[in-house]
Amino acid sequence: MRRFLYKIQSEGLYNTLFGISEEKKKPRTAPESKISSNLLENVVVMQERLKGSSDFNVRELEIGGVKLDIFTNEGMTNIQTVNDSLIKMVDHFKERNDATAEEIYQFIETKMLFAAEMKDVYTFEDLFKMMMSGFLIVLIDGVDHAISMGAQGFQFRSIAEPTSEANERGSKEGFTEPIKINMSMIRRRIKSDALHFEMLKVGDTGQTDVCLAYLDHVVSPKLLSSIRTRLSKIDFKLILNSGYLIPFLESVKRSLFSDVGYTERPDTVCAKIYEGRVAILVDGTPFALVVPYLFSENFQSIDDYVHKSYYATAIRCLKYISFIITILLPGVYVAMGTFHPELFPPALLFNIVSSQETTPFPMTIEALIIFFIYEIMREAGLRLPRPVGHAISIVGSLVIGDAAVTAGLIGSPMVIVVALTAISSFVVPSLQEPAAFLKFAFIIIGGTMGLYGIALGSLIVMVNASTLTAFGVPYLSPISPFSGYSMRDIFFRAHLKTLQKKEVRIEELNGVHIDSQE
Amino acid sequence: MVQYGKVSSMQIVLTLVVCKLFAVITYTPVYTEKAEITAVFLGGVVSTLILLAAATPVILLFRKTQDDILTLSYRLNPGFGFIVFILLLIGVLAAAVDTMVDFQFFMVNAVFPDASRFIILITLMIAAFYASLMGLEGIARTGTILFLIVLIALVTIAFTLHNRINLLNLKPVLYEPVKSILSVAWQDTARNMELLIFMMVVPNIKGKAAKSLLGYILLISVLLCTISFLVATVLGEFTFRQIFPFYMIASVVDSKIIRRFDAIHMTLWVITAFLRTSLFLLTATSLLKRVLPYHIGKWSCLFSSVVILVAAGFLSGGLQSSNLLYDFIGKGYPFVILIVLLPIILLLNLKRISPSASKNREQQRKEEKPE
Amino acid sequence: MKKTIFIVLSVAMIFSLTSCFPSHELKETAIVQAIAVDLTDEGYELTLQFYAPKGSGATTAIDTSNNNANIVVAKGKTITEAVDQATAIQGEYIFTGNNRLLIIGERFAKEGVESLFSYFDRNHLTTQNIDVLVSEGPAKEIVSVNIDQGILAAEMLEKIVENCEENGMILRCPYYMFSQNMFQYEGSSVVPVIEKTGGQEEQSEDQGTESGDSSVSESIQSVDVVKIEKTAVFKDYKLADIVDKECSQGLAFLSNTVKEATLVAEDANGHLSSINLYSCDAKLKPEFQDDQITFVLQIKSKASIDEVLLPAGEYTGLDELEIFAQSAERLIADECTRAFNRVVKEDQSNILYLGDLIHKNNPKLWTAIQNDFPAHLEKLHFRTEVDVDITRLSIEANQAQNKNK
Repeated sequence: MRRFLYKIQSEGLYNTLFGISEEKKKPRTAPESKISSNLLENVVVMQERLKGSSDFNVRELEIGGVKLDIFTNEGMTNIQTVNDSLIKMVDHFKERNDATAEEIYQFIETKMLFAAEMKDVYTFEDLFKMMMSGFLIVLIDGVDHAISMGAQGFQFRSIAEPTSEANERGSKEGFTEPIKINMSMIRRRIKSDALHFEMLKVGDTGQTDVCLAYLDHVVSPKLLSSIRTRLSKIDFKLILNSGYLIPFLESVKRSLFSDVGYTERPDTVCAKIYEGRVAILVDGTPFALVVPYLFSENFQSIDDYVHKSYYATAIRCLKYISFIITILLPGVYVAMGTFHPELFPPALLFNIVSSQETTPFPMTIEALIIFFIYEIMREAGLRLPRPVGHAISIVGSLVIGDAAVTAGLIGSPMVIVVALTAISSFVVPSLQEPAAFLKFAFIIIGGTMGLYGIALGSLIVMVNASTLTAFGVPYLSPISPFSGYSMRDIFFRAHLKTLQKKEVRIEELNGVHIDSQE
Repeated sequence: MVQYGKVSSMQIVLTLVVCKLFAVITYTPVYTEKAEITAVFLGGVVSTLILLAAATPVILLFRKTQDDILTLSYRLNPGFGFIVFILLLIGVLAAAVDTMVDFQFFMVNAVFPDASRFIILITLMIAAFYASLMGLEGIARTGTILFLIVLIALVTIAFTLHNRINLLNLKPVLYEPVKSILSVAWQDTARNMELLIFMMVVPNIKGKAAKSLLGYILLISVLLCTISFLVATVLGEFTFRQIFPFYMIASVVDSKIIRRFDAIHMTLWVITAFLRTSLFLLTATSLLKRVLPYHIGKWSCLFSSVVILVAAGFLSGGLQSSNLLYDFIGKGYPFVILIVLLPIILLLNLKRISPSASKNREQQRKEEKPE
Repeated sequence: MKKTIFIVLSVAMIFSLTSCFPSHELKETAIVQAIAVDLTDEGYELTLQFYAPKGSGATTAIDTSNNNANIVVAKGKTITEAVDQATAIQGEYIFTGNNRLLIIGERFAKEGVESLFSYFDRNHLTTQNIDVLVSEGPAKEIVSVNIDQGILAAEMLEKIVENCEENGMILRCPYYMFSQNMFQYEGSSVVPVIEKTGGQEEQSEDQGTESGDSSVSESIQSVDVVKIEKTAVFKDYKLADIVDKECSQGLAFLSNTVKEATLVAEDANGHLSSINLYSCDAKLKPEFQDDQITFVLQIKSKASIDEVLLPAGEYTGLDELEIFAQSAERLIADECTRAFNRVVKEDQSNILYLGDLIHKNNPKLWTAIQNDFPAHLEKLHFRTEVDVDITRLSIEANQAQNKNK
């Protein structure tokens, strides 16, 4: 009984009654098995493990009297490279029948230059990891380890313009799926030995490559430690997307805003790294994560630094206003129409009243319906094939824009509010999730409690955002807590000559308290 | 509030200024002793001097120590500390209840005459409860942003009213009865319950606490004088016919785009009431947590909210009961006891409150489980 | 977990209490644009003009060729009862938050308007900047006026008031100022007077286009005309006097609200000229000599010549302009003097902040006379110092020719 009560206290009542015990939560892993010097034994183990999977190829060779097997993954290894290596070996040892395993091994280690990366592998687990990453594996009879050679030749999407972050005058390169390509894109832009890539493996089954990219002399060691700690707690078997890591990296579980940013642009990543942040690249995803990510960064883009400062400032302010319009305009409109019509200018009020005369629903319900229809159309437009996309836009404009208004289901001012809100939401796409939720929340609050409710709701959102810290950095920094010199690039963009005088470092913002143990 | 993180002095000053603005904009001369309108303005000016004088013991005390008032009281004498705890708790809860009652009084008279007072109290309390759960840092950071919003609103009101200012409404100073000026000044001074919050927040302030307090007094004096000036010059004697003179002058503002600003300026009331209630609730929670054992203390916030809500619901039921706390605080009893006398007592016994005794207590507090 | 439960409970609670914030949909609201208050033998008679779109179709349709207004007349022992009666008559919630005009009937004004403030000052929907007018005759006739311009009649009436103020013809009276003056100066205030001058006929053609029919039919509509020239003077909350157009302009000068005005000046030969005062600054100061209080009005104005009626062949020179300027100065001085004598001395209405000026400049004297100040009004003296400087001559070249002579 006492043990039962203790269990409730430590694990909670739900877990005690319905949950899985701690022991059962540990994954079953086989003990690591070492590679032997007997080629036949190794081949048997390989065949047992691979179970005849058809994407693996094995080539048995005898070179200079020594037997060796070459294992490759079809589709991931460059066949030309394999052939070249074989030809070279055959050519070198063609006159000899008495070569030793050691000689073959040394030849491969020292003379084969086609592979820039070459690594000795001592266990089968490591062997499979390398083989499934596109490495060529050589097992030599008489050598108690395998040689993995970088001969990747898998097909991947070429570097293209980023689809989610368009820009006017910046680079048109975006990340692709292979992590090595992405690392090279960053390296090309920061030609400094301080740029460090730290590789990790995440996911028991997937063993996905995850790379932490940072500048040694700028990043906070506590920040790095904190990131490693959080990544180590990931219990997923398979990481298919960088988004899987986000919940584990976020500081607060339930918050409207995310303190983990993402980008498809290498130039943006470089800029963030330079401020002391850490970029997290995930193999198989063209989106890099950036931590810590602050609220003000949602309104910054690479284009801001190619335009004149006055124009960039105007666009920056426009983005802030657009965000406020996105979350507040529908709610405020509904609140004013329902509780405070005296705030409308008379001519506008007459138009609204005229349009509302024939509509069957209250303004709140009308707003909810129309935004719900808009969300359906937006989601449909995202998923459907391109040939059909044109038809959806026509249907959408007809349904909402014309037919609904003509039929008297909704008023035309409401259509304008929806349209303006929708367009504004695309100005700051990174805040689309909280914006979508807040939009609906404020419509309901405005329709039930008027501007008083909107004011209270806004205050609660503000407190929520103020309390959030991104790895110890206040989320609303440098607005609050206020950091004077960092404000040069928040609501307005100071001249580049001014910006260059003192660089922004994330660690130096006011109120920063990074805890390496979190 | 030792268990919360550090906030900068600017953050705490701006947050307290926004809190105090609630008392300024809900000031109702109708229920005070009859005075000329010039006295209302001069009273605002004189209250600065009275506040500076009254807060001098506080400033001197916190120049020498970075501990909060409750810690110092306990260090002096545990029994005395307990009495101070009770008085502080009552004072803070009373201020929170007063805020909520005044706010609902404003809302049901000026904005939603047909609304239920309970919904206004409950919604405000829910928001304040959430904010106080988030802690001092969240509130202080929010307060900094809200100060900017409030300042912009006040500047907008002042700017749009510039052509309605009639300096003839201000009568010659020397012919005003001194008694009425002092009466108004005392009313303004006595409503500085924010100093209770300050005295509890001292350990959490980065930088010099005494300097922060001076900054608060100066800033709030400037705002108080400006608002008093606007009210006096725009409305004149008509002020005494208004329950909410500041709301009246906000309603007088007219522009081509929006005919009426009063519903927009209602947000000023919401902002200030929200911040004030949150901070007082946070202070009450902090007081209870310091004294109660952990497993009971973790419910302090909920307990305090319920107490405040019930008291506010009860007092807001009638016109006379609504003014009960307002008059009580306006007369200055809590101000004199908690903000003037208490710091003087501690200041006189400062030498007895030794640094070594404070170190031992700090160690004890660190051993307590975090929130 | 605690926070989640708390949030869910709060949201559920708020939803359940949503009916505690009463609201009215716009389609259920009668948006009042003008209110007329008359006093009858049975009590108060309220005439409300509210917005009712006359367009057709389901989309936004405001027909600007029609007066998009409905009129409701309701009676009650109090104004609140009359408002409730109005709601009962037409069924929609009476919303006065967008009201533009408050028109007080002549009888109501004469019998005392204290009850007006009791309703409108307490009502949270009262817009403080609405224009207050007094009608000659029943206010109902003004609110029921048929004006075709604009969306609805109240809008045009408001524009008429605005234009009259901009032209320096009247002293506009927003509600908050009306209320403030009445309270502060023992029921004294000045309010513009609106009067209906009778209708005029308008012809409109209607071309028929059905079945290729090209017939043209004519219709004659009756359109009302209103004018605002006079000013009502209140004393002790009652209408004491209605002053004419010249006095109204004089009051506007006295209150320093004239920013632009057009005067018709005359020279010695009887030639008329329209002088436009484009900049005008007036200061009223008291002067104290023994027991005599004299108020001195100093007006400094810059003007331009808009029009000069001269026989053919004659031109204006700088000397003639000076004469016109002097004529304008005399005109302004006369108007101001008449207004002061009529409103302050004869009607003894305590407007123009005279008491405040005395208090500010001579507090000792004020202390002696403040208790019965209205009785001292008739003993006040008044003097003007007007300076009109014609600085702009327009683009006519005739003056140049004359100058070169």
